Amino acid sequence: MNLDLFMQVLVNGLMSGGVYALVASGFTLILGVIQVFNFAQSQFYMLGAYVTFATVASLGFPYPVAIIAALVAMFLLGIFFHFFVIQWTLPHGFFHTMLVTIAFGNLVAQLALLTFASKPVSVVAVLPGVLAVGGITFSRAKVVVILGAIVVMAALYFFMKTKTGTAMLAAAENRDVAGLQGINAKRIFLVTMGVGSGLCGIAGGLIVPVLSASSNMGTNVFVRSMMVVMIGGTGSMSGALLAAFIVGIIESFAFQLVGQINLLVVFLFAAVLMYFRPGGLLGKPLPIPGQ
Amino acid sequence: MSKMKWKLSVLFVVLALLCSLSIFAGDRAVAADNVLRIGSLNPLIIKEGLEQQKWHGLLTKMVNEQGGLKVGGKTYKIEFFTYDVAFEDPTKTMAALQKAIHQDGVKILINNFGSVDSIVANQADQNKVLVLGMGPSDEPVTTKHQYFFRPVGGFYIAGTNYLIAHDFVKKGAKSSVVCTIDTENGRVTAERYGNAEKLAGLKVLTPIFFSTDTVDFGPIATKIKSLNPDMVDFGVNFGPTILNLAVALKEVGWKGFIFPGSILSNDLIKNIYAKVGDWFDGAETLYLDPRGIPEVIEKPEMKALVDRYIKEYGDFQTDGCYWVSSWFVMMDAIKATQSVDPTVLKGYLEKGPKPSLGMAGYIQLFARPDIQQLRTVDGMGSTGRGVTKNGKLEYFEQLDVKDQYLMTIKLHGLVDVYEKYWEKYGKPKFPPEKSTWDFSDLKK
Repeated sequence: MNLDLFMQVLVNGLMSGGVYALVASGFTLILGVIQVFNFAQSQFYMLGAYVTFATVASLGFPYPVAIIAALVAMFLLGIFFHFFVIQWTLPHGFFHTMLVTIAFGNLVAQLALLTFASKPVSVVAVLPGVLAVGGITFSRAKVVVILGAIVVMAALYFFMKTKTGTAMLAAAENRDVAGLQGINAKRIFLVTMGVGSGLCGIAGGLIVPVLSASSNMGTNVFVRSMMVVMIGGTGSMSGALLAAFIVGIIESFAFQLVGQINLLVVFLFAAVLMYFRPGGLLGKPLPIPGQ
Repeated sequence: MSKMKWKLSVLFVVLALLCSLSIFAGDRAVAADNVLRIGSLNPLIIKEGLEQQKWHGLLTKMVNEQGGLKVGGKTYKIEFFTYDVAFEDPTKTMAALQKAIHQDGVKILINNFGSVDSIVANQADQNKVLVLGMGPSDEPVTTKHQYFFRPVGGFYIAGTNYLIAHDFVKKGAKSSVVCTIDTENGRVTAERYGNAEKLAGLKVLTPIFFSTDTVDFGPIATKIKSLNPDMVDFGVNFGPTILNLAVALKEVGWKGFIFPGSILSNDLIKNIYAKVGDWFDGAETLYLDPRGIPEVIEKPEMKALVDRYIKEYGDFQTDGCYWVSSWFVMMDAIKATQSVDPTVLKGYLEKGPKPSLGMAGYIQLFARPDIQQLRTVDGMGSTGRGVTKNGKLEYFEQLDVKDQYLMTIKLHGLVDVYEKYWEKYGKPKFPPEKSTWDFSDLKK
């Protein structure tokens, strides 16, 4: 493999990793704070892609505005989902809520299939074309995704230092004690779901100039994001970020070597890692609520 | 009884009532007569499937507007049923067949696209339902099955791939790779196309397969670039996949000859050019727009179809034209036999019927002596051949039935096998098209 190909494979991996980081961070946040295993998480990513497309193609807004629209739309949808569905299922237990998220995820995927199935939808990249550096070519759009993901993760880091972010961390640590400190758990849960969904919306918005949005793109990302959460360690955002890029890079290089069973290589890596570090790279073992 | 138990009991009763309603669904085959029920298994997740659905609706409407199908002294109203089978999903194929045959009373299935044909063929035999399907896998057209016909098949189309590959060889191509979805059809197609390309003089590299839900083609394009082929054959792929693969290939800096699969609509070409510009010039593929195929559009009945489509649906879309070819085969068979009985139609079709004219050209059924199938169950359609230039697909010649038939026999090294068959059963009579090959070319 020459340097040009090596760099292209690396960029592919980093781009995928950026997307996984955003989706997995959102998932980790929701799991950590609300203790909900949100199977619909990656569908917000898919919807974010379509919102971005619709904002650019149908409403004629520039791409940066469309990304913000995707963030806001998914933030609101996440709040809606929690307010009208999740919060009523929480008292019935972890698995009950999990089933509801599976149903919601399926519903969203099917609606998207019915609405958008016939057309490939994408937007023209903000920076189209390729970047040539010393004979090595990169897709500019992919570099935008990588940088965008890093910027968003940095913003998330600073958000978690704010009053709201700290309250979320406190609620994740111990809900009852947080309540005693005056933290309104219901409000925090709503914001958490909104932020978690919004992160996925941004991921979808970032990726749509590179990949055509499709109704199955959420399902595709879901398994990988779960791997990221496990490898990074539940409850650890920095773990999710690190694991996301590791998964993306392993997946990308493995594809060059073994073709479409590359995910198996990722699974093997995860299995070996979990054997030596059950809590993942930087987190703790996945909690089974009730135990 | 506790509240929870009451709730569970009520739920159980409601479910039982809902299930019992299915008893009254019954078998529509015993319902009102003088209705011909035709079905099609289509992939409604892609544009081709949706266009098939539109065409079937339109063709059905046009027949019913004329008072129905007048056959054997009776007049039949046509009821057309479309079943969504996603793409090569065995569960959905089976579910669709169960509904079609046992609930809706469908007696003829046509233009099945994206179904699992081996399942379709088995059900067709068990229930005496006539199938006029398509697809590359040979299993359904073997002697195991009686009711499965394949007017638009993947065997006799080898000549098309050979001609396209041969063109690229003349322009300097030395190697090729097939990159396609990892399904039964994808693998069979990769083998077939690979063989045609090999015979054209290309070094055929190991094919690259990817799952049907792949959205990121960057790694695939990078892998193709690492193999450095002169030609990339997109195999069995559709709209979004073709677009994404083309974009990814351009971005990794690969440039060469492209066969973008057999489905390239005007809309898709426009989308591709919007993303990759003139990088896509020179790609060769099938030209399936009836408006640009002289032997089709010169026929008043075909022009009427095109005009009617535009009147009903607006802008003319080419995605479904080729994939509804079996409708015309079915109609010709019904007119010739004056019957809608699947067994009668089967008897007619398996004895070498006259070619039918579809929207991309003539369609003809042939025997397959290479697999000991002496009934004429397998065929192909004549299609246009086009090359992309300046944002469009330009028609440059018709790939006629005779040329494809003869080229396929020669490419597969089956001349002796077919000659023995012709000695006993006679040579086929081809449609009135211009051909470049004749039987004497088989010995050259």
